Amino acid sequence: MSDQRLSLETLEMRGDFIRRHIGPGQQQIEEMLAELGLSSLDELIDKTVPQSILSKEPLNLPDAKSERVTISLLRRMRERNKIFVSMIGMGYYGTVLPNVIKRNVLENPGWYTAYTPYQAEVSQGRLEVLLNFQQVVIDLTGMELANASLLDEATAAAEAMAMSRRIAKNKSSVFFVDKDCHPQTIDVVRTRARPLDIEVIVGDASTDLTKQQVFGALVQYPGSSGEMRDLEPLAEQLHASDALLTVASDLLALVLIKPPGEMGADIVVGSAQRFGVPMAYGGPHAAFFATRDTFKRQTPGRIIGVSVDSVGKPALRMALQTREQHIRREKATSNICTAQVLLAVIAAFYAIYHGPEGLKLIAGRVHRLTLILAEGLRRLGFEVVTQSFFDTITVRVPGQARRIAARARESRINVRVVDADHLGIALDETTRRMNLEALWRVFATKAAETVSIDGLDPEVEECVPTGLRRSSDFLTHPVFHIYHGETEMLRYLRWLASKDVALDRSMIPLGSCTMKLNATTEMLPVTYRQFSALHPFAPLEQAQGYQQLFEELEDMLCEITGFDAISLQPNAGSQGEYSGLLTIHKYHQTRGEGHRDVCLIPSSAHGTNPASAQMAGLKVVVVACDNNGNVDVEDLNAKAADHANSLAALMVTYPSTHGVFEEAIIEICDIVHRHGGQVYMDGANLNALVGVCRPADIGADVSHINLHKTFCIPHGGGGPGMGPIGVKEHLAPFLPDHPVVDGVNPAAGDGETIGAISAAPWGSAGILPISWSYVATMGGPGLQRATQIAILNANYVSKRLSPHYPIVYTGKNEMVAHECIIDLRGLKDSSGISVDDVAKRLVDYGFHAPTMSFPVPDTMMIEPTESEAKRELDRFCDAMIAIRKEIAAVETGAADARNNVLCNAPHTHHLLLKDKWTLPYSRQQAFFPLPGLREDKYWPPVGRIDNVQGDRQLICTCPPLRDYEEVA
Amino acid sequence: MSTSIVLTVIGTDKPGFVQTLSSVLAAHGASWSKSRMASLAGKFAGILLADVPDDETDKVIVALQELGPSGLKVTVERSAMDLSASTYRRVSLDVVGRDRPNIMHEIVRALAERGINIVELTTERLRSSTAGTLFHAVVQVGSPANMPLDELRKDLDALANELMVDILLEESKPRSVSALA
Repeated sequence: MSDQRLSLETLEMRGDFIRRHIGPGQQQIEEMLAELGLSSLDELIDKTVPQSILSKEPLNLPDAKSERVTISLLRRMRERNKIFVSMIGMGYYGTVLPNVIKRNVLENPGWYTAYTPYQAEVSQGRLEVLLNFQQVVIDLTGMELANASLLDEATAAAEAMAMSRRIAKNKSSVFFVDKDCHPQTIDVVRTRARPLDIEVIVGDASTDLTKQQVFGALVQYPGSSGEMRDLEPLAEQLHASDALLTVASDLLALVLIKPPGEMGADIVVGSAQRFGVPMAYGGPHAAFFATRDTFKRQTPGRIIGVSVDSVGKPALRMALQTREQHIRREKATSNICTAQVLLAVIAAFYAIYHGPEGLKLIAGRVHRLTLILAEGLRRLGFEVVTQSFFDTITVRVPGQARRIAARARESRINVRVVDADHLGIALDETTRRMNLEALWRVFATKAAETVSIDGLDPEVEECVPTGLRRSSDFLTHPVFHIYHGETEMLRYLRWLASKDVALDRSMIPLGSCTMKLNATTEMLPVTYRQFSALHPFAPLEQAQGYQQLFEELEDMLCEITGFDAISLQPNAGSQGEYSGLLTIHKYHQTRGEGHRDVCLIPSSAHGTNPASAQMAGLKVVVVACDNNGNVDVEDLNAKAADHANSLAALMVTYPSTHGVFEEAIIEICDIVHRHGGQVYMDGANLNALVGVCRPADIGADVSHINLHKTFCIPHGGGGPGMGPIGVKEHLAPFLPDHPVVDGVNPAAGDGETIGAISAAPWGSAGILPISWSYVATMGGPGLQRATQIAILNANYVSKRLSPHYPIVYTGKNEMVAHECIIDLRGLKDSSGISVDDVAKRLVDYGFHAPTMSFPVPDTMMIEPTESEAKRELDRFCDAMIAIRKEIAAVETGAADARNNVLCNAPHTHHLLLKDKWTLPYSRQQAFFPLPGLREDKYWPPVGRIDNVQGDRQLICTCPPLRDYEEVA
Repeated sequence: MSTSIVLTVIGTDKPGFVQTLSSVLAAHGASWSKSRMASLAGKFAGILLADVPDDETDKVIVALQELGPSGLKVTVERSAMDLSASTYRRVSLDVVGRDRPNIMHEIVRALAERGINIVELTTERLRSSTAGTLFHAVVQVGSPANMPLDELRKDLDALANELMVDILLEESKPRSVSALA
C-alpha cells in the first residue's frame, strides 16, 4: 500500500475520460510549456487570448461522467425511444444493414475517421467505393453521370432546381413541383427558391403544367402516395418548351421499374438511405444526384473520376468542379462539396454485397408483400386508391384515418395519416408476414377469417404496367458479383480500408478541420437500435429519448456558446451558414428592413461563406484584411458606413481563418451592429474557444457549430457533418421549422419562420449522441482543458517548426491560436519545390498533409488538436523538418531540381519492384527517410495522380477490372 | 486636332518608371488616356493610349524612343480605329481550369476559331486548397454582334466541356482578376 491515501472520489476516476481524450499527459504538457517558456496553461491562455473576451465564469455544465456512467445514461435514454414497425414511408424506410458492413465500416474507425479525399493518393480505398456508388446510381437511374452524394433528398431536389435554372433555355422564373412529392422536399425547395427569386408552383403535373411557362419541373417517381406514372409525355412536353425534368426517385424501386433515364429525365435525385443506412430519426443519409453527361460541369457536389498516376496506373480522384465554392466563392452555384461520404460508402457496399440478383429478391419481396397487402385490404372492403405502385399504397378510409392509425399504433405499427380520409402504408426490406397480418387486423378485427398471405400470394396480379417495368440490366460490373460471400466481403473491406490514411493510423493535421479523437464510447450509441431504427416522422411520444437528447444537447451548446436557442436542423456546416443568413434576413424583413441585403465578408474567409451568402440572396461585399491577416477595421468601418442602409450581416470567423485571436473582434462586432447589421460568426474554429470565451458574449448574433469538428462527430471520409446554429433570443422565432413535424422551432409561435432547410426535422439526429457523450464525459473543466491543450499543441508545433519554416501569422506575444500557418512561398523561388511536393512527400512519411494554400496561397495550415500526444506531434515535426532538409539539398544543388525525393513523391511499392533502381537517391531515402518508418510504414497504393489527364476525359464509372490488372 | 498614339513600354522595374514616361508625355501636351501596366518577374511593362496634339506627334515619338538608353524600351504606333460597338459586342469571360501546359493556347485558339476577338486578357495562377494549381483568365472579347448571346453561351459551354474548364460569361463591365485570389 502506498503511503498517501487518495480520496474515494479520486479512486472513482469520474473524470477519467478527460485524459483519454486529451493526448498529452501531465509530463508532456509541462515539457511543452517549458519549451514555450511558460509556467502554466493559464499563462498560455493569458498570453494568447485577448483579455477583453475571456469568460469570467467557468462553464455551467454537469460534472464530467465516466464512460461507463455515460453509456448507462444513454441506455436509459434509448429506452425512451419506442421502435414500432414503420410503414410511414415518405423517403425513409426500414433496411437491413448487413452485419459485416456494420462492424467493418460503420463501426470501423478506419472508415469513419478519414477526411474528405482531397489528398487522393491516401484515399484510394474510399474513392473506389464512391466510384462504385456512382455506378450504382447511374445503373439504377439510367442516367449517364452521377455525383458522390449530397446531403439529403430534399436539398438534392433544391440543387436540381437551381441547376435547371442555370441550364434551361426557357427563361421563365417558375419551377413546377408536382404535389405528389414528399412534403419535406416541397418545403425545402420553397425555402431555397425564395432568395433566388424563383416562383414555385405546386400542382398536378399531368393537368396543371400545360398552363405554365416553367424552366423546370420536379416529380416524384414513384410518388409520395405510391402512385407511379409514365414520365415520357411529361419529359417531351417540358423539352418542347426548353425546360428540364427532375425526377425524385427511389433506388430500391428502380430495381424493378423503368429508370427515369429511359424516359427522358434530365436530373434524377433521391436518397440512398434504404440501401443499408439506418433511418436514425432522420439521418445522416446520402442523397444521390444523376444527370446527363453534357451537364457534368454544372453538377453540384463532387464527382469521382478515373485518372492515372505517375507511372500510368489507373488512380481515382475527385474531378475538378470549378463551380464549387472554394474556387468561385460568391460566384459559386452551390455551397456544397462532398457530403455524407460514409453513408454513400455503406450504400455502395450494400449493393456490392447483394449484387443485382440479391437486390431483385429484396425489391421483389417488398413489392410482392405490397401487392398482397393491397389485395387483402380490397377483399376486406377497403378502397386502395393507388393503381400502380412499388411499395407504397394509399387507402381511402373516409373519416377514419386518424382512428385507424391510432389502432395501428396499438399494434406497434406506424402508418402515415395523409388526411382525414386517407392513410399511406409503405413497406420495406424489414417488413415481415406478421406485420401484414397485424395490419389487416387493424383494419378488420376478423381479417384472418377472410385473407391469408399464402392464399393471396398466387392470386395477386402485377399492378405495374408492362411499359413501366424495368427491362434493362444493371450492376453488371464484376465488383457487384464477386463479394457475396462474407469472407470475400470482409477482406475486400479491409483491403480498401488499408489503402487509406485515417486517424487510426496517424494524426491528420488539417487546419480548420479539427481532426480530433472520435472516441469509441461516443460512437457506440450510433448503432443502438433504439436510436438507429426510428423514423423521423414517428409520433413524438415514441421519440422521447431523442427529444431528451436534443433538449440536453441544446442546453449544453447554449451554455458553451452563450446563445439562447439552437436549431439542430442544418445537417452540414454549409447548411448552418445558409440557414443562419436566412434567419438574419427574415429578422430584418419582420422589422420592415427586408431591403437589407449586403453581406460583408473578409477577404480571408472560407469560400463557403460567400457561396452561402449568394444562395441566401445577399450581395457580397469583401472587406480587406491587413498584413497580419486580421480584418482591416478601417476598411470595415468604411464599407459598413457605405452600406449602412442596406447592411444585413457580417460573416466573420473567430479565431480568424489565419489562426489568430484578433484583438479587435469586439470592436468589429460593434461596428456592424451600429450600422444595423447582424454578426454571423463562422464556428469553424470554435475548438479554440470552448470554455475560454463564448461567441455570443463577443457579439455574435448567430453562429454555426460544426459538431464534426469541435464536438467529435467523425468526418466519415467526407461526411456526415452537422452544422446546428445558435442564435440570440431576437432571432429564435425565425429558426427552421418543419412541414411534417410540429414543434421543431418552439420559439416560432404563429409567426413565419425561414421554413425547412433540411429534409429531416432535426437534421442528422442519429449522430447527435456523439456530441452529447463528448460534453457529458468532459464536463466544463475538461472542455476548457481540451481548448487549452489544443492551443498548447498548436503553439508547440509552431515553435518547433519556426526555425525551419516561417510562421505566417501570430497574434499577441507571437502566439498562435489552435492552428498555425507555415510559409512555403520562399521555397518555390529558392528550390522550385511546391506545397504539393511537400504534401505528397509527407505521404512517404506516413502523414496526411495539412491544409494546403488556405487561407494563404503556398502555405500549410496545421491544426494538431488536443487529442494528439506530444510523441505524435514530434513525429510529425520530425517529418516536416526532415523534408525541409530535403528541400535544402535541392536549394544547394546537392539534389537534382526535378528528379528528387520531393518531386517524385509519393514513392510506391511498384518502384521497389522494378528490376533496376535508377533514381538518384537511395531506396532508404525514398522509403524510410526516418528510422521509425522501418517499424510501421504506410505504402501509398498509387503514385502522384495526374489530375489533368482525368479532367480531359471524365470517366466516373467503374473501369473494367483488367484496367487495374494490366498495368500493375 | 489631336492624334491617338499607342505605346508599348518595357523595362526593368524600378521606382520612377511610370513618372519618366508621364513627364515626357506631359512635356509635349499629350494626355494619358488609357493604360494597362504591370510588374512581372522583375520587369515592368505596359500598353498605353495617349492623345497628342497633331503638331507634337512626331516630336513626342522621337522623345519617347530616346528613353531607350535609360532602360525603357518604347514602341509607338498611331492608333487604328477602335472596334466599333456596332459590329462587336463586348463580353467578359471568366475562365477557370486546372493549370496545364498549353491551356492558354487552347483557349485562345478556340476563341479565334469562333471568330471571337480578344480585346483584353488578364491571367493568373491560383493555388486552391482543394484542387492544386488553377489557371484563371479574365478575357474581354468582342464577339460578332449578330451572334446571339445565347448561342455564344451555348458555344462556350461546349468549349468548356471540351477543355474541362469553367467559363462564366458576362456582358457587364470587366471584373478585377484579384477578386478570386
